Amino acid sequence: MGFYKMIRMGVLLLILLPLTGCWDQRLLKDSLLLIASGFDVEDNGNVRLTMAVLSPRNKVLVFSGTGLSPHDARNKLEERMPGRLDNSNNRLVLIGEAAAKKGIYPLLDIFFRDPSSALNANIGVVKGSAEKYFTRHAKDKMETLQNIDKMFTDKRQTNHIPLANIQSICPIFLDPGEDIILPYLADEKGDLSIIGNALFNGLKMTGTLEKDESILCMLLKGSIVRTASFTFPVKGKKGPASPLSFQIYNNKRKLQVKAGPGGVDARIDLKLNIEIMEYPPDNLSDQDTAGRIEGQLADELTSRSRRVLEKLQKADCDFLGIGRRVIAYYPSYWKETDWDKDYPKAAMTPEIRLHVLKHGILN
Amino acid sequence: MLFFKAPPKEKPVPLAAGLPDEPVSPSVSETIQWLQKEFGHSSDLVVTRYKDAEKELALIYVDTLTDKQKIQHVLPHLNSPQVPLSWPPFSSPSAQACRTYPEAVSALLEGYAAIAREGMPELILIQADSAFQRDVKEPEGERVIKGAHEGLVERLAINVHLIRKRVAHPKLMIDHLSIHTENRTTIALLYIDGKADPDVIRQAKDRLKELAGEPLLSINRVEQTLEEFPYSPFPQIINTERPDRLTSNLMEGRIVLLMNGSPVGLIFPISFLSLYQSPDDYNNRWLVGTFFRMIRLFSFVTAITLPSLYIAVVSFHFEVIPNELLFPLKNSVQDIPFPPLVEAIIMELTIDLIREAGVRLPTSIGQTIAIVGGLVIGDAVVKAGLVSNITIIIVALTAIASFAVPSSDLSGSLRILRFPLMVGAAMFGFLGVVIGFLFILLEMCRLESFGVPYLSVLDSRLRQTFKKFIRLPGGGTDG
Repeated sequence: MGFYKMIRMGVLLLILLPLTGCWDQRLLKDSLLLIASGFDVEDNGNVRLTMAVLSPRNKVLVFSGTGLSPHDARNKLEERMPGRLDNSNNRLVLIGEAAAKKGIYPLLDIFFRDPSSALNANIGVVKGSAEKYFTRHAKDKMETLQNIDKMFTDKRQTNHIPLANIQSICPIFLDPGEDIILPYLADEKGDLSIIGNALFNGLKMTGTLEKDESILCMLLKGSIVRTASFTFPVKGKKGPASPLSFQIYNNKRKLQVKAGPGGVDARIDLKLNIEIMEYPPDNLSDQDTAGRIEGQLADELTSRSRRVLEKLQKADCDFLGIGRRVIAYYPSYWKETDWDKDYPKAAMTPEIRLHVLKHGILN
Repeated sequence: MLFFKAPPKEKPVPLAAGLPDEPVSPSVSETIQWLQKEFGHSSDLVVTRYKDAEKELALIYVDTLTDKQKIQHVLPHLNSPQVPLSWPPFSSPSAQACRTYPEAVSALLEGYAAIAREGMPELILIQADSAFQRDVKEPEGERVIKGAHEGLVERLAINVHLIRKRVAHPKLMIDHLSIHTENRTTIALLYIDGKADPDVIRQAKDRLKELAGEPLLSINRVEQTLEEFPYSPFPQIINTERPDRLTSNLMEGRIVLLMNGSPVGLIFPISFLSLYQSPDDYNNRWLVGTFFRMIRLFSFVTAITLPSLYIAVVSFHFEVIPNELLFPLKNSVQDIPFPPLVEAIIMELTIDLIREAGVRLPTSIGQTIAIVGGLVIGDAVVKAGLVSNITIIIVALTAIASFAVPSSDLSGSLRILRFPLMVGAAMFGFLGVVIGFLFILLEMCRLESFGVPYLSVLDSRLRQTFKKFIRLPGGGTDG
C-alpha cells in the first residue's frame, strides 16, 4: 500500500504548491523594459528623472518627472506607464552635468539597492541636461539607444573611455585612494557622442578631459584594450613636417610612488609598442630615421602626458590610484595627510618610451 | 482510487498445474477421447485412424499448426494393413516418444503430430510445425546507416538462429523456461556461461514465475515483471529488434530474453548509458561514433529541460538574455494571450498528437500529416498570434532531441518527464527546473537493474567514466 500512500502525499503536495499563486512571476510579455535613464537636478534640489522605456509596440517611450529623490520621481512616472516597469535590462544611465557636480551617489542608490537592476548599464555624464537629449533623440527610436551602447563598447576598444558601468565604478568611488572618470557625452551635430571624459573627485565631477587626452590618460592608467591611435606632425631631416599616424597596441606601465616629508613623488614609465599606419616620407626601414621618429613621438607623448596629469591634479581626480599606493606603502604618511589637498601638489613625472615594431607592408 | 484502498490483487491459479500428470493410456480410443476432451472437440484437431496387420494406429495433429508436407512422409509407414509395424514405425531425428498426456498436449500445440498405437503406453511425436514467417528485415524503428540489416522475427527458433550464427561460442547457453502461461508461450534466456552473472539469471527466473497461469501475449508484460521498479519512468531493460545489438550485449556478459511470437529481445542488466548506445557507434570510426554519442547524450538534457528553461526565462529571469536577443524575443511574446506555460504545453501536445497520428497512418499519408501538422499548424498558429515563434523553435528542438534517443522506451519517458519540469518552471523559475531535475537525478540514482546501479557509468574513477563516454578505437563495447 506504500505506493498509494506516496501518490496521495504527492498529490497533496502538488495541490499545496500552486496555492502560493504566481506572485513572483515577472512575465516578459507584460513588462515594460527600461532601456535608458537620465538624471538631472533642478535648482530647488529636486531630481528630474527621465526614462526611456520599450513599449509593447516596440517603440521607445520617454517619460520624465520630478520628485524629491530618484525613487520618488520613478514612482510618479510609473503611474503614467502602461504596465510594470522592469529595470533589469537598463543599458544606459546618463547624468546631467549639473547633477554630476552635485554628486552621483544619491542618484545611483536605487540601482545598488535593487537586486534585479542591471549592473552592467553604461554610465556617462552628459553636457547640459540629460532629459533634453532623451526627448530629442531617443523618442520612438530603438536604434539610437542601441547605437549608444555600441559606441560605448567601441570607444572602450579604442581606449578613449574606461570600463564604466554601475557595478565597476562603485568600489572605486568609495575608495579614498582612487577616483573614477566617466565618459563625457555631448550633442554634436544632432547626435550624442562621446567627447571625452568627466573627472571626478570622490562623488563629484570636477573637470573634463578632451578626446586625445583621454587616450593618454587611459595609457597612463596602464590600460590598452585593443588599439589606441594618434596622428602627430613629425619633422623630417630636412623639409617640412608631415603627419604621422600610429597605433599603440602594447603598453607596459611602471608606477613608482614615493612619499616623504617633501610630499608625494610619482613616476609613471610607459613602454609602448607601436605600429606606424601612415607616413608618406617613409624611409622607416632606416635605423636612424626610425630612431629619430621614436624619439620625437616619445617626447611629444611625454609632454602631452604632463598636461593630462596637470589636468587630473587640477581636478583633484586621482584616477591613477596614487593614493592607493600611498595607503599601501606609506600608511603613517597617509594618516597625517589630507589627500584632497596633497594630491594636487604631488610631483608627477611621466616618462614614455616608444618602439616601432611594425610599419605596414611597405618597405 | 486515489483516496480509497486498492483492491487486493488476485493471483491466478496456474493452469498447467491443474493438469493431472496422467500417463498415456495403451488404448488408442481412450487416448483419442482424452485429447478430444482436452481440446474441447475443436474442429482443427484432426484424428485419422489406420490399421496395420495387427494393431490399430492413430495419427493426431492440430490441423492449423502443422505442415501437411511434413506429415506426408509418415503416412506410407502407417497405412500398411499387410505388414505388422515395428515400433517406433520409423526412425527420424525429429521423432520422439512421450509418455504423459500434458506433454502430448503441449507438443500438439507446438505443431507436432502424434502417433498412437494400440497396446503402447506412449505417443510418438513428429515435428511437423508449419513455418510461416516474415522476412528477416531491418526493423523500422531502429535503423542504422552502416552495419547489419537484419531484424528479429516472430519465431523464437529463427531468432535464436540469428544470434547463434553471430556468436559461435560453445558457452552460449539457451535456456528454455518452463513457465506454464495460459497460452503456453515459450520464453528463452540466452547468456554466455562464465560471462553472465548467475545471480541475475536466478533472479530473472524467480521473477518470471509470476507469469504462470497468465495469458502472455506481449514481451512488454515480461519486461514489467522483470523490472524491479516498474513504476519508474526509466526503463531498466533494453528492448531491441536488432540481433547485432543483442549479440554485442551478450558478449559483454548481459542476458538476453526472447519470447516466441515477439520480434523483440530484452537485454539486462543495463545501466543508463546503454540506452544511449546504438550499433552505429561501433559501425563508424571512433571519432564519428563518439561525436554522435555525445550529441545524443546532450539531447537527453535538452529533451527534458529545454521547454522548462524557456518558460523559466520568459516568466522569471529574462535578465539572463543578452539585449540583442531580448528585443526580438519580447516582440515575439508580446501579444500572446496565454501564459508561457500554457503556450508551451499546447505546442508540446500538438507535436505529440501529430507524431501519434503519423505513426498510425500508412507512410504516404503519414508524411502528409507531418507536413500539414508541422508546417501549416506551426506557421498558422504563429500568424494567428496564439503561440510565439520562439516557442515553436523550442518545441521543435525538444521534439527532435527526444527522437534522438536510440531507445523508444526512454524517448517516450522523456517526452512525459518534460511536463512536470515545465510546471515547476512556471511556478518557481530556474529554481523549479533545478529541483525538478534533481528529483529526476535522484530517481536515476535510486534505480537498479538486477543489482547494477543505473548510473554505474559515473564511476568514482574519472578515467573509467571517461572511457565509457568516449569510444576509443580498439575492441569491445562499453557502458
